[in-house]
Amino acid sequence: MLNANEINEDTEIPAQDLSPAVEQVLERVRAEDANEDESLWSEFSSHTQK
Amino acid sequence: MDLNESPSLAREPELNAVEQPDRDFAVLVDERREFDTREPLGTFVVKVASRCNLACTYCYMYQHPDQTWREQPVFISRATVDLLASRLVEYTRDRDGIRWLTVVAHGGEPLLLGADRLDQFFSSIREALEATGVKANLGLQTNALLVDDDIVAVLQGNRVHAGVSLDGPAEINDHHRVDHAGGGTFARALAGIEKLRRPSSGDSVFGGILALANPDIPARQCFDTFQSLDASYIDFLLPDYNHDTFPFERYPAGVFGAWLIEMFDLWIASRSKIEIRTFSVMMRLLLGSRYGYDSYGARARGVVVIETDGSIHGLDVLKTAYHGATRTGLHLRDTRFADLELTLPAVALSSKAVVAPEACLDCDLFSVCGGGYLPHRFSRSGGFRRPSVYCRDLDMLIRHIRDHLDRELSHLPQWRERVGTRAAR
Repeated sequence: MLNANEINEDTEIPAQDLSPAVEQVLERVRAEDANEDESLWSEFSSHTQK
Repeated sequence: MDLNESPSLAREPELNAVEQPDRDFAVLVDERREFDTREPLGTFVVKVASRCNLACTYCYMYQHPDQTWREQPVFISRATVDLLASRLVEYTRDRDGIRWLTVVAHGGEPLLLGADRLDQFFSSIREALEATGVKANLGLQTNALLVDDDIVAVLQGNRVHAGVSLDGPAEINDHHRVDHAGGGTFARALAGIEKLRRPSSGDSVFGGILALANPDIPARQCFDTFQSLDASYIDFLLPDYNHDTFPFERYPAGVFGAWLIEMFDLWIASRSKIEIRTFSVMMRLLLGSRYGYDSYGARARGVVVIETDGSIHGLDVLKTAYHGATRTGLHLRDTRFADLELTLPAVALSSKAVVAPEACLDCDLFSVCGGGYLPHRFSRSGGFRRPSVYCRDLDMLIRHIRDHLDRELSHLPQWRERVGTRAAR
């Protein structure tokens, strides 16, 4: 999950105001930014699902 | 059931299998190689069984124009599995920087292979890849009816989570997902899911659920059904219609989009931790993520399909277009996967702008929709050159999700400023 402290450095709202769905997405995008998103390499095709 | 007989005993395909035989994919698209970003192959969908114990009404394998399954051996052989494993190892050496490869046991119904041969399949692939230092991301897509303790043990031993195809709730599922006698399968699928979720020993091997988006049922009813199954992942696929088969009178443009928007809003409001893949990937792409998968995003890792005889095919959903649509003429015995990256069927799924409809290249949503899913763009008269039959639906949904992100991230300026879309050029 997103590091709540990091979010709060730049904002005035607590991290828990984010929906879990958006929180998960932000985590993945940040990992991709850092070239650490393993899930990009393990994405399933559309008619298959993990 | 005699597996050499048609898996579609309950009904024969409505469309003639030889209407448009063996048309070359290349003549059905406008090819723009300047957009080719030479993406690596990521997903290998392996038909370990080419027959099915069900006869679902919409199945892209059996109920559409392509009938090449009739030419395939019922099961993949041990020799073909070994050849596949060696080609995957070769690919990790040919292609620098590969960290993972995804290999999915698929069908037909892959569990028809039986526990012993399924174990051979997974362990051969896993051991071969792990010896190279590349992680094996193994998957299984099943209808779950044949799950038993032996199957669960195979999945646990090979660290595989099963994706289950299910259209909830029961009355909807059992209208389309039927056995060869025409009987409903929801209760039996649920029993299989329960064995995957709560094995007699060891950890759960239940992955997620693949369902069809279906405006005939309230989104709320569908969401509640799947939430009750405790799935970690769900995806709602748009039905595999194209311009020749879409029932425009029954579903006016935007009906699927409105249904998916309702589902998205339910999902967000529920604060559920379930991941709904279509919505998650759209949010990622709107935030600037570079890769989607075959359905969404301008770029993706390539997808390859291996049939039970070891022949190499393009995306299997293209079987909805015409007979022979997935054929490449290539086989594992004489093809390096690295060479496959250059072929148009692979490029079409990984560098989407290469074959996108002209009108899509300047659309601001291209980075998210990727020009629409290739099977949804087909028409006999226009090949794959027309926008998706779901263009209006995707436009509505993507803009709705973009507006939601704009609102939810309004207090996080470093994220909000990233929300956007872009054309291909």
